[in-house]
Amino acid sequence: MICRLLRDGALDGEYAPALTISDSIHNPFGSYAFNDLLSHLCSNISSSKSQARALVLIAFDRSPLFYIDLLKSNGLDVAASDKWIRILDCYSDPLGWKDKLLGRGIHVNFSKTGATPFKDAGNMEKLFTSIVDIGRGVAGPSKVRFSVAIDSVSAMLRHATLGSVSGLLSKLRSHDQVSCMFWLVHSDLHECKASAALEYMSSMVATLEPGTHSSDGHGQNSQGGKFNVRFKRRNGRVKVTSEEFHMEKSGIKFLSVSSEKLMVNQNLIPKVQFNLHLSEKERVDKAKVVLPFEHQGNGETIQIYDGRQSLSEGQTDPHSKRPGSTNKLTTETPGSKGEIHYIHIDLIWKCWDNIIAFTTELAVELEKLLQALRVTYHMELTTANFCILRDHLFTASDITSSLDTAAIEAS
Amino acid sequence: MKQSLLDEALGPEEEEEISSTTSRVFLIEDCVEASGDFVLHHLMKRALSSTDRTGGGGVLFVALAHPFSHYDRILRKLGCNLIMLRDNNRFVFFNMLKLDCPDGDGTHTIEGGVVELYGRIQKAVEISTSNGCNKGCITIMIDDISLLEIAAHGSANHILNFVHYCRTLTTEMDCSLVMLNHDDIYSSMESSGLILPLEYLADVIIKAEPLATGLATDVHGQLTVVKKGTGNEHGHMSYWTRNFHFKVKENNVEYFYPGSRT
Repeated sequence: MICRLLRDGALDGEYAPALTISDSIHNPFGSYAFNDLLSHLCSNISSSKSQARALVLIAFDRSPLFYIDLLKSNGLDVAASDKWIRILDCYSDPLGWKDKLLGRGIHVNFSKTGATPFKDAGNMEKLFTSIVDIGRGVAGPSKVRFSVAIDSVSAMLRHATLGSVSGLLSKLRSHDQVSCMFWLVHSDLHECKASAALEYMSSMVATLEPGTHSSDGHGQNSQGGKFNVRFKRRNGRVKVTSEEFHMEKSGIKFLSVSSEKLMVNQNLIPKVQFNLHLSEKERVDKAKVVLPFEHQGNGETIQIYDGRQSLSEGQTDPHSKRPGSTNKLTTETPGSKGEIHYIHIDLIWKCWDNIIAFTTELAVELEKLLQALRVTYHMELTTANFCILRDHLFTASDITSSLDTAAIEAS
Repeated sequence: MKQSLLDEALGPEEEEEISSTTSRVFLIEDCVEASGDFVLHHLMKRALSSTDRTGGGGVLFVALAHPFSHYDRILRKLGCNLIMLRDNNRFVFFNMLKLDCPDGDGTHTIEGGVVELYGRIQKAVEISTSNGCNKGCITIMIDDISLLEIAAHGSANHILNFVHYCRTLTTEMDCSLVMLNHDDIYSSMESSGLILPLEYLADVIIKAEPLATGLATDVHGQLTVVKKGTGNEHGHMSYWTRNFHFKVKENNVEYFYPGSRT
């Protein structure tokens, strides 16, 4: 899609489409992406398929010879390239040092290509004039358009201020003979404001993200990653696409997201207008949230809801007033099956008499229940618990006998 | 003779055909606990003893850290006679121990001093290639970049310009460039000033670090070799990272994979 937009060029009276390719030291394949786009665009220009009829390449990072070799390796007719491509050589002598040394008798013949040397990389006004002159020279003075490619805005930003570089890019975009522009920037070499300024001036931003690494036991091999592109439409709408890429000997190869992954994405994510994905920050924040069951136990008694009815606010526990008493919270319904009868017991007994009084009362209650109802599983458990209680409190034989009766009937 | 792990990681000394993808710029990064000097010496010996396509390479050595005698003693142990090579014009030594830009008498600005140094290197390359002394590749070695930065009064931009101009010689005059830089002398804020741009420029980065687990008698540190844009056996271009340990001995350096020593 990038290639198509660059090929189609600009509409009359509008800014030319511009692409920023942004990479970092952890995924330094931006230059390969740049070279790939360059080759595609050159191919379109040479076969007259694009709006632009010529291309001006500003070479800061690689020698013009490198680009000529690149075009040759892509099967382009380099002999006829003079008619549609011109290289402005800001690589060989960007600051005019070699000229200065020439004056001192040191001379090396560097000009092996037909590139136009540029020796004042800090002067953006002069650079703009040179680009436009070269573009007009190759495309013609009329309304024929040309494209502009800059292989390293990072190098430009080393020689000139952000303001002057932005000014140059903006002037080129608005020039009525420029069809499209693209450039490469190493985002981690600059402050955020530089990257943001470049992105504001671009209608497309391609960001390279590191991908998976393969390992052979002694080393790691990084062969690709993700190629995320953000398109800004004329109406302000933004579209984001993501492709995978991997490196091959012949250059960078782009792969659309595999159909398997697409299927998974389609199944998992409903088609909605809003974003359902979490960013890294959101994911971290989510992990930090303390859920209701996690905040207990910090030095306090852990209260786990066990299915029993809790007392409503303001209602005090009657057992706390009268230790050893029982309270039947649910009333039995004769004839209904599977009802659970809860008996709240306050186990804090202060004296022996209270225990006897309590167990007697409990035994009476249990006997009443057993008579009235069929015993449920829960009642069984309750009875068994009181058998254990009985073992610990081996005092009144009449109480134990009544509990024994209850246990036998329950089982 | 069996190649060392470092040689294996750096790739073959002789390329059948010098292409635009040939590794030409080497950056050695080290720190106080693990000096990378031995890698520089290794590359110096490799450049001087290579019997490549046309008969042997030459070295232009820009020394800011040590005098000639220091390198002569070390290279002698490695089997290279620097005095003889210097007499044969295969080894050119620039003694820059007292380099200061601008210099004391005020004849040069910072840029003027750096341009002067580049001019000397360019002239030496020109002489070496024109008189036929070095039929092979010429290697420009800088020991070290951080001292060059000190000589330039901390102006990283001038140093980067200088390195860029040296890099133009690699493509236009069939040279290689080897630089040593200290990784631990920059704060995190300054790291983007010189370290990152140099890493972008380099085709091969060799990083010497101490072991994360601390000092050991049998292992003096670990080397990480990052080689950009190298084709592998599957025909893929990639970004290779290799890790191995090293032990610096009296006359040589032993390289081995972690856990491979008995």
